[in-house]
Amino acid sequence: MVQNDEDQNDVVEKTAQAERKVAETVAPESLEDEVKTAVKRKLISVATLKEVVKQIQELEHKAVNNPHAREAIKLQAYNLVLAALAVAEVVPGIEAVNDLTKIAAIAQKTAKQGKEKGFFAELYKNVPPKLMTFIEATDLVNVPGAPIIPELIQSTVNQFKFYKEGLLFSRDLAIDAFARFKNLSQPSIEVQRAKLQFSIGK
Amino acid sequence: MDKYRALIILIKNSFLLSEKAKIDLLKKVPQLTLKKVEELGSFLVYERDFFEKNQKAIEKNLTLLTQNLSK
Repeated sequence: MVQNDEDQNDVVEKTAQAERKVAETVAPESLEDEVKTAVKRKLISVATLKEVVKQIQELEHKAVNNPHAREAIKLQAYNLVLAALAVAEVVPGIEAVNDLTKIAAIAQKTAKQGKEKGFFAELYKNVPPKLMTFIEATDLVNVPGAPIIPELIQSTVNQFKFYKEGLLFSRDLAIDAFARFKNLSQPSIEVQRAKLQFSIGK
Repeated sequence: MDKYRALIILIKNSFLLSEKAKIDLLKKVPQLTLKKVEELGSFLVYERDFFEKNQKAIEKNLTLLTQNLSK
């Protein structure tokens, strides 16, 4: 737990450093500041990924004449997509999941190159449809207790978003998810009893 | 076993939730209404059933993902 806190503090500090670096390298234009502030606020408070996509599109439109702000937005959008992909990767029953696996691999390679170049346009131009596919698929799952799901998704998104400066979805993270999933094959009696307390309205 | 206790067990054993999210949710459990407990518990049961029923597909996807990330 202490280690987790330290890791998170480290990530927060690195994120702050990255933001300062961006701030130093871009023109101090009011529009960019406004967009960056809006992006940050929305990333924290947004209730659903669908809403995030909508807001990113609005912000991109707003920043169309400001290349520096546009790059900052693309980076944020890219982070969100990686987070969405990470969530989608562990949720089967989504038709696009194989495509998402490929995209995750491409995204990973692109991130390694793009991190140096600061350029994600090639990836970003395909983002909204894929993200919408994921969102639409999850909407179709017909999960009981739907009102709380955005909170759960957001928690998961935040987890991935902050991992390694929110930029790279790592192999270690996938392996960790794999290990946790393996435990599901042998559910304890305690878990089985707990499940009986709730009906899921099939 | 009452629903609050059951919910705590399901949160601790959730696959989807991060460790931090689990801790955050566990702190909130005592203040949750019975309706919220029912909602959250039902979702976590659904999640568990879903992953159990689709275990092979998930393993395949995670294997692919891990392989891709290793390249």
